Amino acid sequence: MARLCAYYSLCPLIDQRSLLGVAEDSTSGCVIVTLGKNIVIRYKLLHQKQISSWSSREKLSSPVIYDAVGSQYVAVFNRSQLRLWTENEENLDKIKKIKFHQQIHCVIPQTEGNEPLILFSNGAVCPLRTAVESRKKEIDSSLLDANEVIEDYRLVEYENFTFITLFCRNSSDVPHFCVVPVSGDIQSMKLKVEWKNFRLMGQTVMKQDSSCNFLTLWSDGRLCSLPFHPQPSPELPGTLVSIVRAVSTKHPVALVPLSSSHMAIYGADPSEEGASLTIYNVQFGVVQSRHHFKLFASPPRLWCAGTNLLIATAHNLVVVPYRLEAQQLSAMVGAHCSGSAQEEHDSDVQELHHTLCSNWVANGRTKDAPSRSNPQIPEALKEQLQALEAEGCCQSMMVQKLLPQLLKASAISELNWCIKYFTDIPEGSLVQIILFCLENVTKTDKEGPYHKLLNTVLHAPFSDVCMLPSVRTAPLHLTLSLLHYLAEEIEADVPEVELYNLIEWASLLLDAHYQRYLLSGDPQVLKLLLRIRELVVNQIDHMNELNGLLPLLQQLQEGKLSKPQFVNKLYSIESLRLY
Amino acid sequence: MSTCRVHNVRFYDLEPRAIHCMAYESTRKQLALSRSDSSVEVWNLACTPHIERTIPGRGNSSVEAVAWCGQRLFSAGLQGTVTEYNLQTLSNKFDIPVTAGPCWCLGSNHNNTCLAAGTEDGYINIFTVTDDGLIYEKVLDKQEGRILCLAWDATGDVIVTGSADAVRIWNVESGHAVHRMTPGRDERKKETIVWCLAVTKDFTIISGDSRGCMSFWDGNVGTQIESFQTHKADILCLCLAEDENSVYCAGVDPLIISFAKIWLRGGAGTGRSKWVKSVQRRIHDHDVRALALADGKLLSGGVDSYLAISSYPPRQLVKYPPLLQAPSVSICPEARFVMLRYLTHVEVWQLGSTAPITNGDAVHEGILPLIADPLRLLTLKSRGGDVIVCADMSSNGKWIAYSSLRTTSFFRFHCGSKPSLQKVPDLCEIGSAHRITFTADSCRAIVSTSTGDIAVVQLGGDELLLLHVFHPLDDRLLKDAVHLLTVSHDGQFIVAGDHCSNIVAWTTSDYKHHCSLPRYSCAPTAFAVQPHTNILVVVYSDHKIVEYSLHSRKYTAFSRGLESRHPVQWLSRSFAVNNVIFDPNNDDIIILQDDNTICIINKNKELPLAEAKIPRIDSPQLFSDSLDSSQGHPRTAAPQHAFHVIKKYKHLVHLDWLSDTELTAVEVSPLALAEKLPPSLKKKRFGVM
Repeated sequence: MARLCAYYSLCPLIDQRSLLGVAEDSTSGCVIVTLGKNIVIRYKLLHQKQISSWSSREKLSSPVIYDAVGSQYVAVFNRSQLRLWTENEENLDKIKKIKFHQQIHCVIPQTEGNEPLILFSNGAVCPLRTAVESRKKEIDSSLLDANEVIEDYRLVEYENFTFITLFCRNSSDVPHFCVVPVSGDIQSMKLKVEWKNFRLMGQTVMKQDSSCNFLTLWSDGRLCSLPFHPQPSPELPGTLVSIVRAVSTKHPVALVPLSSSHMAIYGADPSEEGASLTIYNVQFGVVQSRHHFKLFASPPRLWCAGTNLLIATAHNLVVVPYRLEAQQLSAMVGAHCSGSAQEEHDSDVQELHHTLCSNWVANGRTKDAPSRSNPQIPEALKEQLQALEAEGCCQSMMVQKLLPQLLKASAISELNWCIKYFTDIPEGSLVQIILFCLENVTKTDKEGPYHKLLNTVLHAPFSDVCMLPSVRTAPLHLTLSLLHYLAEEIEADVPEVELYNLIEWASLLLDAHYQRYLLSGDPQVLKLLLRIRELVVNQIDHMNELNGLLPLLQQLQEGKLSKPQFVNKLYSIESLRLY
Repeated sequence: MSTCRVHNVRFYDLEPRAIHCMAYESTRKQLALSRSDSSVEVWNLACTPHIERTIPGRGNSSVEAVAWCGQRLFSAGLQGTVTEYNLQTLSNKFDIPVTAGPCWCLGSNHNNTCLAAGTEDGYINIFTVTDDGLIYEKVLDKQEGRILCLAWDATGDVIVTGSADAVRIWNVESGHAVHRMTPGRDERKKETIVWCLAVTKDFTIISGDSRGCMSFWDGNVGTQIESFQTHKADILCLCLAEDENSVYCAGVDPLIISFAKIWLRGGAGTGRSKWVKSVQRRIHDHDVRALALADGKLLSGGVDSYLAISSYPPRQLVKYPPLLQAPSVSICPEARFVMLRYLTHVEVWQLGSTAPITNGDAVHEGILPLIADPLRLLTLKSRGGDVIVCADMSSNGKWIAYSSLRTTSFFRFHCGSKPSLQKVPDLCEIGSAHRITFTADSCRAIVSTSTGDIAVVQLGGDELLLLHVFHPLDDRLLKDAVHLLTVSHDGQFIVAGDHCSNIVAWTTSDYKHHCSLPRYSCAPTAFAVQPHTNILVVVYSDHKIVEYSLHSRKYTAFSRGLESRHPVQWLSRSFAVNNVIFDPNNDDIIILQDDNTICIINKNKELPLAEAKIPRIDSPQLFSDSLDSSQGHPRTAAPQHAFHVIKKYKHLVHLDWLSDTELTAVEVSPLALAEKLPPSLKKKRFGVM
């Protein structure tokens, strides 16, 4: 659950363009706003009051940041000077300038007691102290060309690795994505961000459970995710996350990651009027909270400070507090969930648990990039599937679209493939396939294709709540024959369907047509029900036996299996020594 | 070293029968106690307490009060009669109806010349006791409400009665009430019932009532002296010591509290005395219905059915379980049956079996696996629900005999795949029997009848044949009812014993009197004839053991040696010996059994010093669990002397051989008895839920 709270204005902007940036201050709840080229104001967000401010004669070229290690404020002046000052400093002009030969792009604060990093305009990165000491030297970086300009940067700490990702454009407006290592054994990387003839409208880097992803938002609304660390996969644009419709992708969009599954998106409203700020759940592909602003200023600028988002609108710096809570599935109701577990069949409760810990990208790759993981797409479907994929259909929709024609054509192998391939098959479709099987199946051919298909369908995961209405629509005689089939399978020595699925389906069928079974009064039906009952009772007895076996085995394992006790309390024969 | 397999039979499912009233007779030291099934038991307290006789209850009668008049026993009940019992035939001598309704209480005066009975309608009936019965004399003035208790004063001129809200003092001569004293009420609308009374020689009246109050009254002026709230619920019984210096009371609240009379300054004789609360003891967990004092020992009994004999000081307590008077079990070695006698029915069970012991585990001790469970073959209910006085089953399991108060019945029992029972026509010569025993070869039955005769019955075919009848009473060989009867294993001798310690042996070859044992002061409690040697072993109620050779008609050498050298610990045991058996494999072994102990005497070994403690052997896995193991029996692995005990059972009813290597022990667990009791008065006790 994520929520944007009511927003408020922090301060008026002199000019939206001249705002250099916002950074977190020494105390939480405070921000440093580098309002213009020579004005720095510290605000407390709680009451939006200014704590202190500095102004300078020389022009700032980067936002002021707070260095927690040195308890000082750091800023770049005139692209080549660094000034460090403490909170009590009054006049910035009196402070000693530290001149660099190289142009400095900005200073990036680090967390957890690491000193800030200096990012040079050529893409080189150096810790503050080292940089100051060796300021006369040139630090070479082959990463960026001379004509490339850093547009965006992001410090990423992933496990033991720290690196900075850069997004830059060269003079011919070709964007590149670079990874600059700071610590840890990683390779630097540079990637040309181009895909077909779509324009890149927004990008960010998101740290997820198992990888770091480069998220790209393209002009057709597609949000793609490219894992680049720890395993680089340099094929842009990566996997499709979803189609973003919450903002207009005709204008640039600002993306800021909030957690491993949430990000804030700020861009022009799709209605082309005003701006829109949303919290987007990457995992489920849904908008979780949304705010509309009357005016949109391009380029969009968005910062995150603590649990607040700061937006530079046309005339104001706006603060939008947000809340991220543990993901509740209830918040997802009605939304399509693409993440699903292959090993978990019950899609009701375990899903939540799963979403909290699953490697979404890894799963997503196998599912949404079928061309790589499952090369055997049937020829008949390949084209259609690709078209549907191109449309951005989710799995359930694909199944719904594919199914009628497959059923009509009795394409059993394709159906089989579908059930195995898609993890999210609508319950109604499953019922359709089952009915199709039941109508065609004959009792004699145990090895027939319909049987195989039926067994496959019975293995497919489903939610019994969603399934119930679909099963109710099935005709009674087919339900009964399915029950017959299930009973036979339960009885079978080597069942082709897992017992768990058999039980699930049997109870589902019993639930669905309970009253009809009772009211039918048909001796055959009753006989069937009794047969199932007996099977269940047998199973329970069996389980109880096993239950009783457990302590015995445990005792055996501990090597203290007691002698059998002769339990007749009222009668016993024993050996007694008389004399 | 000898081991045998013991069949522990714990399915003998006796119902506890609550003790309702008790009366103690001090000259012969016998205690009469009535139980909830309206039976009256006479206990002999002269040496070791044991049941002497049981007068079976009759179906629709009740016993609300028992009283001794000299050595005659009377009872009164709700059927509205005063009954005298014939202690020799164990039946009613006569029933005399009382005026007006059910009778609640009965009392005799100190001279034993008069009986008074109080009734539901408020009459006090006065009877004169004559040699052959009771003569109705008169009724005193009718009072409102039932009379629940009465007591004569020392002179016999005055009767004190208790009823709802009143204690009255009556002049027997005039028949008028002299005083009426009211105990008061706790709640305005709830009457106070005076449940019990006692009168001292100085005419202090002591009463216990439903408020749980003990009240002391001055009978001369009809005023209350003192009242003590002692119990949380009704006081149902109290008893006054013979020296009248202490009184005990108890009731629904089972705490037994004693009051002591203390003399105020000036010492005894000056007349100033006071009753004060003295020691209290918790002996029972359920209602105490009856109390009696016998030679300084307190007898108490109630709903829990145990007869408790306690004293303080010295602090002692022995509780006697509510078992039927022995013999209540018979074992059929040939058929491997056990017959259990209940109040109105008998059960026959086929015993279970275990895998045969191979040589490898001959030393195995402890419980053996069962390969066959015991099986109940038969439940034989007495005709008309009469109480069964005695019963026996022949060794081959083909004959069953039981006797009620009316008649003795014999049955042929066939145990095939479908057990069948066939009644044999009664012998008119035999009425009710006190003891029945079959010979070992199952060909004859010996019956001791209620008239004191001993009959020998030939069993065969479908009819009984009376072979011979002894008349020991007429022959002056016996003087009382026969309670011990046995026949030697070879069938050569019949031995009978009575309560007066007469033991007589007859031969069966010519039905002649063979010999009489010298009389002893105590009653015998068990005897048996050893197979092969025909030596009779008798155990008396003071635990003296004698061994008498029937062939040579004299005590054996062992017996004479033992005479003065009985272990002191053996003689001081609280439970009388119930049964004597012999080891079939070793003629030198005598096994004695009482309520909780098996005593084994090895005649071959040296007799211990009289003061030496009797050692105990038990199975190794048992040594930690029994609490009474510390009761002065040191554990030993190999007993050195003639006596040793096995303490393994509680309430061991019967122990007998099933085969040469198998014993059967029938046991009643105290828990099984306690489970059948009604809930007791709820009282918060520290540390107890």
